Amino acid sequence: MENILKIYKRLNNSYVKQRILLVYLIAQNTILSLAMLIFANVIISNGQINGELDYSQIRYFYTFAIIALFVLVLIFAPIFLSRTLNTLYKKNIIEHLLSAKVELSEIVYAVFLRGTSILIILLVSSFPIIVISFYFGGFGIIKMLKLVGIIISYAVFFSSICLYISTKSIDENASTIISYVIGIILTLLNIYYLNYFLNSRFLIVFYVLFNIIMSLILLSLSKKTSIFNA
Amino acid sequence: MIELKNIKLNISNIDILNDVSFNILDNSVTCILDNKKSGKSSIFKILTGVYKNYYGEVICDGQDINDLKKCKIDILHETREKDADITVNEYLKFYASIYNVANEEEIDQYIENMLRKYSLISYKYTSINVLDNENYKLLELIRISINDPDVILFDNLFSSDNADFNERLLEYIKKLVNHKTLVFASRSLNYIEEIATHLVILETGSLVAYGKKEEVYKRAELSNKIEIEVLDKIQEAVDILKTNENIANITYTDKIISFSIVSNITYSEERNRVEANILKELVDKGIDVYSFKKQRVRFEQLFGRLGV
Repeated sequence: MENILKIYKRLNNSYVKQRILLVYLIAQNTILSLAMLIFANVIISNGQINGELDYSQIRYFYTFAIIALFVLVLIFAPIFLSRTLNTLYKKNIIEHLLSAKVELSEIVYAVFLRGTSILIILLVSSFPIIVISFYFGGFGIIKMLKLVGIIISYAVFFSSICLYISTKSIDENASTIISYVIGIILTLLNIYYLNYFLNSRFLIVFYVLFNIIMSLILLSLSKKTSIFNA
Repeated sequence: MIELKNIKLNISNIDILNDVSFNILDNSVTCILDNKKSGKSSIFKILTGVYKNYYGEVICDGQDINDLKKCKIDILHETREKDADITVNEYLKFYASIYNVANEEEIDQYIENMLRKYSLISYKYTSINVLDNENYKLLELIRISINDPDVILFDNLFSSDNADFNERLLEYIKKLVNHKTLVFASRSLNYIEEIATHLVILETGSLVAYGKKEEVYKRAELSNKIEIEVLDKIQEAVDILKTNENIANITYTDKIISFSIVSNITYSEERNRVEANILKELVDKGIDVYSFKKQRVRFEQLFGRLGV
């Protein structure tokens, strides 16, 4: 396992990649901030016209914020993870690393660590903007923490799905498309059932544990995959 | 010593290796030959731990090869890493960290020196993708030298069409002979024949011949013959050669004498020394030697004689 951080460092070493990440962060948070401003403006304008604020409209405000978080995961997890391992394989990097006595599990974990860490950076960077909307929408601190747990554990779970899919096909485009299809289904299910999870302590613990256990299972299956070694 | 015992490998219901057994002796130069895709690269993938789902045993110094930390094997791949994001310097430092080369300052200096030695210093901060195949092979030689393995595998090393480059490469490789165990996988004997001590010949995944080079040649009724052309005194030259205990099978015409070096002389350096002494002895005794030619064995010839 000592090689995980070395491979992680190699995957992250490019300044070009770091600049691209910075551009992602700025673009994503600018779009989110603008959307929040527009929503807030609509609610306040309606309040000025009607003489009082319609608090039911604030619900849409933070529903949008929740959807935005799930969509972030949906968009970026396949980009960072569903084409990584098969791309490394096609570039002969996996074979060369294996022959340098690096374990396949170390490569899988390093790729997962790199993809998931970028995804979590993207999510966490948007939290300040989203927390403001939740706070003014009457969303309590406990509920916000629950939401953070849900979104982070889901991001880890979906990342491991994308990684697993990338080990099943040499074709990066096929694995990306399959990841997006699965991602859309999971995002819709998550948004639909989110209220149940947020309102039950038992369900939220189950949800987080389920995501983590499934991630570990998928990671374990990814390192036993057949396309990289006979 | 590495022992391969009854190795069978099947990928996607295709038999890649069928019951292949041979040994790689310490400090030997073993050449695995095949004339098509007959499994030589698969043997390398087994030796380096890339393929694990094979049947049979691979023992390295008494331990299973999959206990990789114990057996220091490295490979110069036929394929290259295509990573535009990593520079030559980063690539070598990355592998130095994988090989747990501890002292960072020393490794920086070593990389600098080796890049200068192999004339790659101008590429130090460029992407490895910029290197042509020949320079990439030199980069791989530097990477392997950082690892300092006991066993080095070369997959189609002399595949370049550039004869000068191949000769240069051979000179680098010759410095490793007798210090390291070298294993070549190749489709031809060009360049390798001179340094090979053992041959492994494969055909569609099965072992056709294995042994010391001379034994395999003998089986194929081939030997490394030497031809000398003398301007005169041919009988005198033949008599001198007959007294040399390292020479066998002397035949001659009016100007040309053919003979072979006895088969127990295996290593190329010793062979070269014996050949040089023969030539010196003739010249010292007043024989005008016009030419001194070594007949190289062609791989196709070897395959033909073995009935493959």
